[in-house]
Formats: sequence, C-alpha cells, structure tokens
Amino acid sequence: MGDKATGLDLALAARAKERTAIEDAEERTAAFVVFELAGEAFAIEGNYIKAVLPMTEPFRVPACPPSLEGVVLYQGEIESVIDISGVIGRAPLPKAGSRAILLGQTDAMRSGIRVDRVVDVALVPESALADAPKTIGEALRDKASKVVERRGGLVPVLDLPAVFAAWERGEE
Amino acid sequence: MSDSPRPLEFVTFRREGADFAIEARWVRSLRPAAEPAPPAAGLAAPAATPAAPTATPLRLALAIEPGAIEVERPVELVAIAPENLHPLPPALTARCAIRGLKALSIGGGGLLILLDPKQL
Repeated sequence: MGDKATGLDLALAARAKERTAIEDAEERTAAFVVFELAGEAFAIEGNYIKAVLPMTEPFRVPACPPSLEGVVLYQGEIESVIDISGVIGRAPLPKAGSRAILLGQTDAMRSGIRVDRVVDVALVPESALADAPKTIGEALRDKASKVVERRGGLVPVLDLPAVFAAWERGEE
Repeated sequence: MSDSPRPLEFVTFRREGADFAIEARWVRSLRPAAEPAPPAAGLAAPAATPAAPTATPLRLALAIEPGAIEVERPVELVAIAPENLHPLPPALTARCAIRGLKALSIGGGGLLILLDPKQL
C-alpha cells in the first residue's frame, strides 16, 4: 500500500480540525462554590474546596480564639472549623443557623469554614467574572479581587489563600 | 505475628474543663497536690476558659521537666490505637495557645488533647 491518503484519512483529518475549532471557540470556565455567610453571598473557586460537610457541632479546644471554633472528625481525619466572617469585615456568625462546613485547602493551610448554607456549585464562564468594584469595602479589598455574576447579582469571589493568611495573622 | 503498630498508653486527666493526655511512659506517679503547681506547669494561656473549681487537685509527677503538673479527676490509663492519633490541623498550630499541644484524638469520650511533656 502506498503513502497516499485515503478517503477515510481525509475524513478523519477534517473531523479532527473541526473538533479543534470547536474547542478553540468554547469559552473557558471555572468552578465556583457559592455560599451565604452572615446573610451575604460569596464564592470561592472550586479548586480550593475539597468537600462540603453538613454542619456538625465542633469539639471545642481551649485556649483558642473565638473564630477557631473547634475540630470535627471527617473521613477519619481531624479538621479544624473556623469562622472567617471577622477576616472579611463581618460580625461573628451566630452560633445557631449554620448548615454547612466548607473544607478549604490551599498550599499553606487546610480548614473547615462554617457558612450559613451552600447556594450553588457552578461552572462559570470567564465572561461572568469581573474585577471587584472599588466600593467592595476595605476589609474585602485584598481578599476578593473578582466578582462573579450569579442570578442577576455580583458575588465577591474570596481569595482563599489571602483569607486563610489573614486569619492566621489574627486580622479579624 | 502482626506488623500493625501497637496502641500507645496514655494517662488522661481533666484540666480547665477539657480532657488532656500525656504518654504514660513520661508519668511517674499521681499524688494529691499539697500546694499549687508552679505557673510554668500551666497548660493554657491566661485567655483560656477559667478553671472550674475542683475539690481535690492532684499532682502528676513526670519523668521530665517541668517535673509535675496539677490535674483534675478523673485520671485514667488508656490505650489509643495509632490510627486514632491525629496530627494538629494547621489552624491549631497557628493559633492555639495550649502549651505542649502535640496531637488530638477523638473517641467515645469526645476530644482528647495530647500533650508533649517536653514542651510544657
């Protein structure tokens, strides 16, 4: 058999070209976990959220700041549970009413984050992301550089490494 | 013959409303406390929950400095399987002020705070 392309080869090559063109045209998306904290909606990039746990009362550990609420056992491992509301300029969460714990992980830290509830886990196109407005507030300025459009509103996207780092420094 | 690690023995006690444990190999004896333990033997920073009044404080003598710590009843010897010994979550390493805090264990009795006597 010679080197000449057959009709099948040509057809497959054309299909491959079509597919590449479609992929190029598709907009990039990112996954976000959208949740409520202190009655407001926030989002965190899905890469940072390892699990969403139903709310369970943490075991309290003495000699910790109030925002370090305790520890829970999850899949055979002990995870801390923190309240990040102070870090983003909100009042501490009330003890009752939370329905979920987001298990967040960055290169530097891993911890559960108590939230009111998880609203949505969504794939969001890049076009739905925008720079955070200047009016976002002092406490959020270096912790939410983007906002995402969800259901007609703009939701601040929390930069979890910055939030965790601020919490570790006690900026609450 | 099994290669699985054997349970470690700990002496557990209460202090300031929480349950603590020290590996049994560091504990020499348990006696009624004649006088308060020195401040260096305190477990938590001043910001911790105030200590609950206790009828008969006990002194746990250690085979290592600080020599002894004051504890509350009940004091028990327990064996904990290695799979139930957990390293500290980073948040506790960063911001918990318990002196000597080394690891945690959660069992039927709740949370047990494991201390390193070398760091007390």
